[in-house]
Amino acid sequence: MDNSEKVKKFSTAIAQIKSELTKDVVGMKDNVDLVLTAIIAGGNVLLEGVPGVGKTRLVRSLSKTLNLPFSRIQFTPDLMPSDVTGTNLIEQDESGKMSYKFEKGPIFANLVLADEINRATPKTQAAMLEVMQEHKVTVAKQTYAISEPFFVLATENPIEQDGTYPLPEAQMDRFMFKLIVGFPTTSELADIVNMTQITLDETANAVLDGETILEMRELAKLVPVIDEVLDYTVKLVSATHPELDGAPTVTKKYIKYGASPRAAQALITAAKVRALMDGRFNVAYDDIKTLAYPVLRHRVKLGYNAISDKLTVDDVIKQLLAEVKH
Amino acid sequence: MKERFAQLKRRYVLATILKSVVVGVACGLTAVGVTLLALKLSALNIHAGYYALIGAIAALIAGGVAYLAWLPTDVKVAKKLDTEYALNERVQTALAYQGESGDIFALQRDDTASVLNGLKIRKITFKQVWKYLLVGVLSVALVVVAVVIPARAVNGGNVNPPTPPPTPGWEELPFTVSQAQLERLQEVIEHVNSFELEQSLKESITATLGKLIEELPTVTSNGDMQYVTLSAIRTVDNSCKNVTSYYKIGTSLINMGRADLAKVIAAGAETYKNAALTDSSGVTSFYKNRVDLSDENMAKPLEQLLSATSEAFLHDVETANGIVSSIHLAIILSNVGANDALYLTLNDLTIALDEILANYTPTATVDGEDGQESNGDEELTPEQQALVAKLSETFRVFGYNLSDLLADQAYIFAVDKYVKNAVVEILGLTAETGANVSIGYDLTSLVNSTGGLPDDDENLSGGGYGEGDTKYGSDDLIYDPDTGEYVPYGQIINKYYAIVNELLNEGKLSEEQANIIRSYFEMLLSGIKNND
Repeated sequence: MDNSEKVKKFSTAIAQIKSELTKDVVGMKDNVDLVLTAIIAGGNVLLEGVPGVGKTRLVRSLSKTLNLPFSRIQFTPDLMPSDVTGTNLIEQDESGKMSYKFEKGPIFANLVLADEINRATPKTQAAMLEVMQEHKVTVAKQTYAISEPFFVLATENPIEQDGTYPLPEAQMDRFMFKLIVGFPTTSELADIVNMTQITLDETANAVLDGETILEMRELAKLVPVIDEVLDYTVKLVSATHPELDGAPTVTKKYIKYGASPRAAQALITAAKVRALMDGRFNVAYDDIKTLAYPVLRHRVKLGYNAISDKLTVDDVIKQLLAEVKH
Repeated sequence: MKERFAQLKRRYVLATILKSVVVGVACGLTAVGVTLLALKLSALNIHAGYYALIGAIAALIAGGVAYLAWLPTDVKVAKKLDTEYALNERVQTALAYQGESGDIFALQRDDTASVLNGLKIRKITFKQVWKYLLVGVLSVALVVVAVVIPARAVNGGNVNPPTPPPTPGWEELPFTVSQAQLERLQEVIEHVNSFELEQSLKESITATLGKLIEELPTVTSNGDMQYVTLSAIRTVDNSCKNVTSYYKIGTSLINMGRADLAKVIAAGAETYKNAALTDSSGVTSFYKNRVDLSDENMAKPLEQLLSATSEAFLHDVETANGIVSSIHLAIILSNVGANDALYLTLNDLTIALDEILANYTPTATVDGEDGQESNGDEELTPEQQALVAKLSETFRVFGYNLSDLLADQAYIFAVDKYVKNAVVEILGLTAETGANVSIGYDLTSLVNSTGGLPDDDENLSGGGYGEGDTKYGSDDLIYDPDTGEYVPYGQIINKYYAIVNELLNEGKLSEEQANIIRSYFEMLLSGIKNND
């Protein structure tokens, strides 16, 4: 199949996915687009939202639509790393011979929902994040690969902070996006209630498979980026560092630590996918500006001035985009 | 896509050209306006062609620079298209990767072409062009202001228009004397004949006027009329001057240091200057009052002269002698005939003064009696009183005789003035065409320019003598004919005396007159020796 056909297939698939998702997920249109973008781009997403806003439902519907195995891991403080990755169990065969058998953990799925990841201990978090990074599990010197595509959607409950272990910045950097799921609007809530009166099950149909996702991922890598857009992306990420010469005023005033180079990689990779999803074959400045929020908000640490001025990280990113010109 | 892109690029090129032209024209107009304004404020001006040249050069340079700066390259056009039509960098990407052959690049180019083909070219809005319109309006306004604003005044005030020259070609305009004019000129001749003048002078004046009457019908232009008329006026003036002596004697007196006496003469002889004398009745009236006018004018300078002379006679015999000698010499050197009335009157004065001096010995020292300085307040001795009385009587008689003859000379010039006024009025000459021709003498101005006696009574010493050292000779530089240099008078007086003595020895003057002259020079020479 040549690329033009793949593009057509891509466009059709995206449209179908969105269409199927609307059957189970009310609202969250932008977040749905961004989750799809992350999946196709090969990244992971950190979702922040109060309970009951549809985070789990979104991932379940996605798994159905993409026809990919799904698992949900509810992180608790007593969750062990082996609970995530799996462990060797002793097994007796019919002849009574004892042997070890690796019992795969819930991580061995294509779509994984890591609920309230900040409730797990740092050790368990690290095990989870290692799998996210390497797409494989090593237990007793035996390595087990995670099948592609592999996508983790981790959640954080912003309300209950007691007894939690916030993810350190180095670990946060492994998530391509951080999305904020807000409370649904009145009309959306009404739709949710009406929908769930009928059934609580997800009714989305499968329209894709993992192989297609991988093809789409490879196709997206080919989308061209002009030097000016690339320079703007680099300039934007560099502008988040107050220690660098020429840092904007907003950076010097409000940002304590800037984004890592992974932010620039994430921006470009995601922007290519976004361009394709938008029916274009090139990355635009608008793609970078739109993706700046989910890419940068968990990678930039604000200083005390921002706290005292009651500015959120999104407010600072907005000011940054206004100051950095292309 | 290339064709569509080229088409769109042409649009931007055309817009750039238009913008460059607007900028060029605006800069050209601004340059003209600024130049015009600057030159007007500097009260300078240049030919209009230079303004056009300045404007053209400024327009070309500005327009050229603007076009080069805004030159729509492919990259600029692509950027403009993406920005203006929100194409999400499609055109820039297609341009950047136009050489790439992969499927995705082809798809990208096709997508861009599709979008470009579907573009609806937006019309130029006011928002886009208002800046250029404003620049154009401002530059035009600057030129208008520069044209309207008046040039800076020169010489701190209003710029006075230059004095218009006389009507160009007046002299070339045709002239035809009218019968009325000729008749009026004839009347002037008749009036002159009726005046109290010596017959010879009358005949001279009337003959001149008669000749003018004959010539006027033959002249055909204003220029010729002007020439013959002014010639006639000058001839009449010369006729009058030839029969008067006051000016010659007056200038000679001034040369001999007797400006005080010259002032008296000028006062008596030039009373006609204040009279209107535009018609014959004025002349007649002047004749009747001439003596009184002279008397009246001479009174004060004569009094001053008497006072100064009395002072010298009372205290300084040398000065007194010098006064008499200088008057003698002046009338001799005036070249006026010895039978001239003024000559004789002045000669009588000197004789009278000589006689007074001979019969009176004034105080020998300058400082007055007993070596004390004379302060003017001392009581006169009977001899001195008698001297003063004699001097007063002498000057009274002198003034009496002088006023008569000077009045007659004033009358002659009154007739001269009347003839000139009448002729220029009849023939229509104006100040610009010769009516202001000068006639007569101006001894009064000459006396005043040589520092004649002031009109106040404080300095009655007169002509260079009074309290203090007696000064002989002058500090003026005199021309030395041998060396061609100007030297002090003291260095040349011997030469002059030698020349004069040689002339005196020829016997053209009487012995008495010759002795007067010799004594004068000797006095000068002795004074110079004293100064040395």
